[in-house]
Amino acid sequence: MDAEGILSLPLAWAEGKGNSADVIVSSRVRLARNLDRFPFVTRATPEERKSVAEAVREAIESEPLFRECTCCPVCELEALSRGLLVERRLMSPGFLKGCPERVLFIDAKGIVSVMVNEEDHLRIQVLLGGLALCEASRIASSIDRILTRLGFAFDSEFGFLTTCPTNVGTGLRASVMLHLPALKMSHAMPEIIAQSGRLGLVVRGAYGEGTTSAGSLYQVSNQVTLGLSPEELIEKVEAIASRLAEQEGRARDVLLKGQKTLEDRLWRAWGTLSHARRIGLSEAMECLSLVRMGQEAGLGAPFNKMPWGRLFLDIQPGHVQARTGRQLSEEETEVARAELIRNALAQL
Amino acid sequence: MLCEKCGKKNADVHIRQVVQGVVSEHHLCRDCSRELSPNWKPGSDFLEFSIGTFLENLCKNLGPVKPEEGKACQDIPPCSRCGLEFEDFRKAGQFGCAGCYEAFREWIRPLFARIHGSESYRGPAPDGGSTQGIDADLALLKNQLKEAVAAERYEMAATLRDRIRVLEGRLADGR
Repeated sequence: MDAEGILSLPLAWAEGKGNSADVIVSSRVRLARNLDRFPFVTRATPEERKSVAEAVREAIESEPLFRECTCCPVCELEALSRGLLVERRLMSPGFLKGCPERVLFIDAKGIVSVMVNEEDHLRIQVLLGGLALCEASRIASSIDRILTRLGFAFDSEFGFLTTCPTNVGTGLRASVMLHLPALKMSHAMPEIIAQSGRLGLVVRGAYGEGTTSAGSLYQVSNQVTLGLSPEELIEKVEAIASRLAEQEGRARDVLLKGQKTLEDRLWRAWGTLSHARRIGLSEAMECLSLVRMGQEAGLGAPFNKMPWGRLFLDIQPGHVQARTGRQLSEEETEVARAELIRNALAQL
Repeated sequence: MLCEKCGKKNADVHIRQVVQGVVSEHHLCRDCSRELSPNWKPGSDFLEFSIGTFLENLCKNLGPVKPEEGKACQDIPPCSRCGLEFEDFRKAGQFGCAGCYEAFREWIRPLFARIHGSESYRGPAPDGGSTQGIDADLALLKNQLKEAVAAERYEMAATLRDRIRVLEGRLADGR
């Protein structure tokens, strides 16, 4: 599939809809599964991995749920398309490397993706906008039930068996991406990150290292996969995500109350985006984050019209290159990014 | 402080992990920490630095995962399905097939307790579970038992015998 084809596919999470969408960007549920009759990916022969991919393809294509799904053998994807799929969060960066028998399936609505021959034979992922972990889990379970006839590796003591011991049991990773600029400005994040481990959860910057995160985007996910039922894991992650969203709301109220300094900062971010001639990814993400904050805080025009989800994707390096139609140097990418943002804002 | 992995360079990366209230600390140099998370990329929600690649690689630095004192890793029979040695599992932190869980069952429980704070699964079973895999494992294990007895490796033979009993019990339970 070429870059243009990928850009034309719908992508539910980037539409900015769903519960608590002012703070919660997306909800994701991922299930790791292996086929019992084959060795795991790292120990299987190329022929065995091919057989796995073939068996999964047959099972998926015979299901009405996957009618009109897109099947992408990774080795056939051009470089520009690969970057796009990772930035759209339809496949993992790790999936780019590895054996040539990797195949990606994407459903027609842009909600479900299935990676075949990643670390496990199957990685079923459901990605929705806003806080929607229960719904994502329901969809993932129905796909799990459909594909169970492939004969999943399962043990009554350990549950679903995975390549890595950190995924064994439910094989479930539930994660929520949140936009937390006010908690970040209030210096609350290091403490939240440090405390999350006690609850068996991980809170971390979604973009960047350690406790900081470009664009104030953070991710909450379950750390353990064994010992708790899928429902309990989902409940735990959802409860913490909701609590963080509430705290963010309160922190925004405090910060914005009568403070011209913050309002000035939000407007300056708008100014940078509207006038920059060259802009790096982290600066662009930071400015977009502030503009989104202004939008949610009700600063009115022109903030309220900004399509954050679309712009957030379009400024990523792979998207900038795909829109330009060729591989770019870092400097060229920064110039093209600035132009792309200016044009988008001018059209509002 | 020196890196706990290579023991040569200074440990600049300090990781404190709390799983279900159990605290563990690791001190690594920059090169080793990078090596432990090769798939880490900024800007991805797939990064599993603290819970994925990182821990699985740390398996090799965990204490011996064995239930009985005096039992060496080389006495643990390899997986009868894919041939993975227990020592290789400890080094790589990855299982080779579903059969490895059966083969190393008693030795991996403490590891799971350390990672997840629990040793057993709670949740639904997949529909239409089959016993085909167990039949195949049993046949292989019985062959290995014969070989171990012939080679007078009695400790390994005893482990194999226990494993065969467990599998036969499961078949009888209708799994």
